[in-house]
Amino acid sequence: MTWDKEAIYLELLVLRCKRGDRQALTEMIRHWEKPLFYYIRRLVDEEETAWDVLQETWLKVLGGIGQLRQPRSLPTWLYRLARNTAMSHLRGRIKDRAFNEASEIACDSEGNVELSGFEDAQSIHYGLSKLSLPHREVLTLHFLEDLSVDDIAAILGVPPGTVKSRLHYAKAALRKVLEKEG
Amino acid sequence: MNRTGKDFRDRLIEAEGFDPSYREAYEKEIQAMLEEKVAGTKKWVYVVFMALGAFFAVVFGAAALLAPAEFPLLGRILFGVGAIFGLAWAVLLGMIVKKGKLNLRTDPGAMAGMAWATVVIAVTLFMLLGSRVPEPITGVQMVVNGLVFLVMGAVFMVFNRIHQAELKTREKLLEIEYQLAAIAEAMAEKQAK
Repeated sequence: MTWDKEAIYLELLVLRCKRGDRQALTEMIRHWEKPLFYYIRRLVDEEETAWDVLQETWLKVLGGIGQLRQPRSLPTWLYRLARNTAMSHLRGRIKDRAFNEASEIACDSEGNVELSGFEDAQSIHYGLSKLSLPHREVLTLHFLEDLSVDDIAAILGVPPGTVKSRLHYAKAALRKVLEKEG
Repeated sequence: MNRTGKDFRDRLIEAEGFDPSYREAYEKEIQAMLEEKVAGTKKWVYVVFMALGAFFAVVFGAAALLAPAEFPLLGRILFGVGAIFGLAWAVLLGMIVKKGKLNLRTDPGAMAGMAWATVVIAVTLFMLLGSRVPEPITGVQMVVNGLVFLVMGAVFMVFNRIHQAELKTREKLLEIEYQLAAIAEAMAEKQAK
């Protein structure tokens, strides 16, 4: 399946869900649960919590899919829901600041966010665990969905410039980790 | 995202391990979310409403059949509609209780459709009844009151129909687009060979 064909298929799924087709919701869950779980797992420490967050995210999807105006914005919407759910779980344990601490990094980087050179999935998976939460999060979104800077900014609730600089520094940090590990 | 990017994404996701017991618990919760089970307290709520439906069916049915001869025919029909609605409600809830789960795709729609149809029929009869009341003022009041509900119901139905038609059209267009993409992909593969 090409990516375009997949995009059309996903848009169809959203429309079918909006028309109350439960089978479409099942298909949507099966399609998205793995990447969403991977993303949530990068945000929360315990696996059990990650599954709870994922389940809560689907409950929110069930309640809110009717209001999703642009079916093409489904990935952004799903990741934002998952992130908000994870944040509400973490509230009290981790300060929200932890999610955004990297925004203090200068935002004017020209943002060479090309991530070529990172091909070994196992190493990247390991390397991500060694990064700070904001760096881990932004790189995970980039690796999982190839989302635009604007889309990632919408998910994280930060300006696009911050996403660019965060991607830039996250890439450098990941490279450092991978070099250290040999 | 190109195929290489997608492959990388898949490999990255596969690198994540998980505890099967947590996964199993999650699957159960998702299943429960998708097909709302009717058990425990919820089951008894359905049973109570089913009994109420049956009760109203009997009461309205008896009123329609046993009303005095001088009772207006339209009023009798109104009671008859009430009896049919009560019976239909009792049957639908009885079937849901028997199945033990609510089909979220069809059952809420059936309930809403049934309620809507009953209200429209009842209000229409109520208005017809109003036009035959001996006191003209009371009759006009009945017709106007009924008209408000009827207009509200009609507006709701029209908006709902427009929305559904719009979604259906977009769905059909996307299906065509999807088929075209599939044909283009097949042709590209054929050419590559």
